[in-house]
Amino acid sequence: MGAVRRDKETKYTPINGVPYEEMTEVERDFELEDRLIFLVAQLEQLMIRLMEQDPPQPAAALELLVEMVNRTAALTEILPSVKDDDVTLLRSLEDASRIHPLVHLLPVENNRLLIETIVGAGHSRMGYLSASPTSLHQVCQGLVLVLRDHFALFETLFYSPTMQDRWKGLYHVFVSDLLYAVTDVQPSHSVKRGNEARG
Amino acid sequence: MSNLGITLTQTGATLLREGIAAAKAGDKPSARSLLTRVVELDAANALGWLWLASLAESGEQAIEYLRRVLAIEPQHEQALEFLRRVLLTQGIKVAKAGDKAEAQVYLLEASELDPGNEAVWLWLASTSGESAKTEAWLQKALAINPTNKRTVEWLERIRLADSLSKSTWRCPLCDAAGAEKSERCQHCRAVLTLTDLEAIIGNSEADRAALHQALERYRRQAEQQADFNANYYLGLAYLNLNQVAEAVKHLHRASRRRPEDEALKTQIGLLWRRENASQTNGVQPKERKPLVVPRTILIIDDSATVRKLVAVTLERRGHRVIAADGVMEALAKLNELTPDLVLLDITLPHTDGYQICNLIKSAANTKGVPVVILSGKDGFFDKVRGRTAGAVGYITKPFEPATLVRTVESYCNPSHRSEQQEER
Repeated sequence: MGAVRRDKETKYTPINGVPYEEMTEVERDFELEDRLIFLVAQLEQLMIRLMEQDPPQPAAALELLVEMVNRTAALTEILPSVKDDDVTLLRSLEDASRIHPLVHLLPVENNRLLIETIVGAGHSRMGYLSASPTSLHQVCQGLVLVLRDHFALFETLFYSPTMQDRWKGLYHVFVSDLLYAVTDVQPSHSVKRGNEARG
Repeated sequence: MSNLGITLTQTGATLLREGIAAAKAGDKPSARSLLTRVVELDAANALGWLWLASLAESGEQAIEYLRRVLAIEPQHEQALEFLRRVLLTQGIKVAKAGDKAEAQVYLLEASELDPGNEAVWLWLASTSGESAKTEAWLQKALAINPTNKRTVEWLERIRLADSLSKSTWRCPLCDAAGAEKSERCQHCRAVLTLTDLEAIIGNSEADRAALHQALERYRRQAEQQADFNANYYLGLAYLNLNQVAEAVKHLHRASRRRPEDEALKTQIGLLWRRENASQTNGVQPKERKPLVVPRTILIIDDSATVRKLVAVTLERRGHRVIAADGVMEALAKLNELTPDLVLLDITLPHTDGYQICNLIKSAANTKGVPVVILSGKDGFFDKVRGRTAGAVGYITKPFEPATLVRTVESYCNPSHRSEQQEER
């Protein structure tokens, strides 16, 4: 983790060109908000791909959720205001596994979930997911929790309580949309949501 | 019938006697029950109501029973005396509980029944939020008891506060006296509100020496005690000196001390964006672009997340965002208002965005409203189809906030819009 974070400053390119150290608190808040808005816009498009599957394909759904988690984890690595020990993917997974124990089995390397291993049917630990609706559902819910954990960390980075509230409002809407989307990701699920493909 | 009437009267008299006896013996529940039966049998039994009032469980109940007595016998002395006392007690109780308006109702009635009671006027004065009323009621109390020192002191405090509020106003930056509070100081010519940011930033008339003195004064004040005023006036002074970045820093500090002031937050956001834009564009301060004019944007998208993303992005620029999740809601909103721009998702349930675009462009009241397509599809033909349907722009999801803001503000610009219309 430390190695990943060590070059944080070199990875960070301020959106407005002003070095982070020279920014005022307001500037830092606006820049953080810009990055988070773009992150959620990206995650929303992944969620749409998930919702467009009719019926939802477990492997593809897992892949999309893992992609969401990895993109979010990547952002924590470049934000200068995130301290190394603030959050790690491993810790988030541990927290989520208290509610959804199977999440503990997800393989992590360098602060990323290993997509290929998780969705690869041949993997000894994870291959059974596609056959077990309950397990699959548990992992999906767990990954949403991991996302929430990261979003909650971002919330603490704002100086302004108003911007904090605005971010909270935004990610709550996204998480509620996502929870609705993952409800359908069960091999046994028989009720289809209708042709509401969105773009 | 007459036999029955006699029986009823006799029964009533017996019950009344028994009720009064129970009350005197301290058996309130029995007394209440007996007396209630008395007034049920004979609603005009003033004594029954009076005794019930004496046993009432609350001030409101006692007042109600006493009003019954006075409705039967308007000059009933005991009831009048009792009511005066209960109204005052109830008024004090409600005033202590914090409901000054309700307390005033009780106390005003008490003052009509008992205008010579000093306590009534003093309590009334304590419930008033208007200095004129407070003064008038204190005068009444003082007329009854001219030696009450506390009333005299209270009256003096009210008059002093009143005269201070009407006294000469002083400019917070140059400290010069003025006849009344003004948006621009007549002496140092500094703009003193954030309402018109262009006026304050572009202020070339301000007395720079006076502003620098204000900066010194408020800097010292802010160092000693980082309060709202010091930072707010530092912000105003810096803005009048066209130093926006410094101004934003101090205004933000002020805002953190008054987080409920949403208007201040919005203005700080606009200032920061403006400063940021000028830095990235390398534009010199005097050539800066004008601040954005707030616009009304209608977003039509079935994704709650996208609607929220758009709202967050545009509202922090000062725009108003109206959201619709489908064609029906969109048409309803368009019936209620004409937005400055429509952001339209293409893939919607039950219809597609192109059809909505056609509808917007064919209606008399909305045909001039620019429509920008917001879509996850990035294909050439999607964009062409959008143009054909009458859309002026196309934003591909996922969008960066700057892209959305730039596009929206560019198409909301009236000059741009008229150029577009001429092209067509």
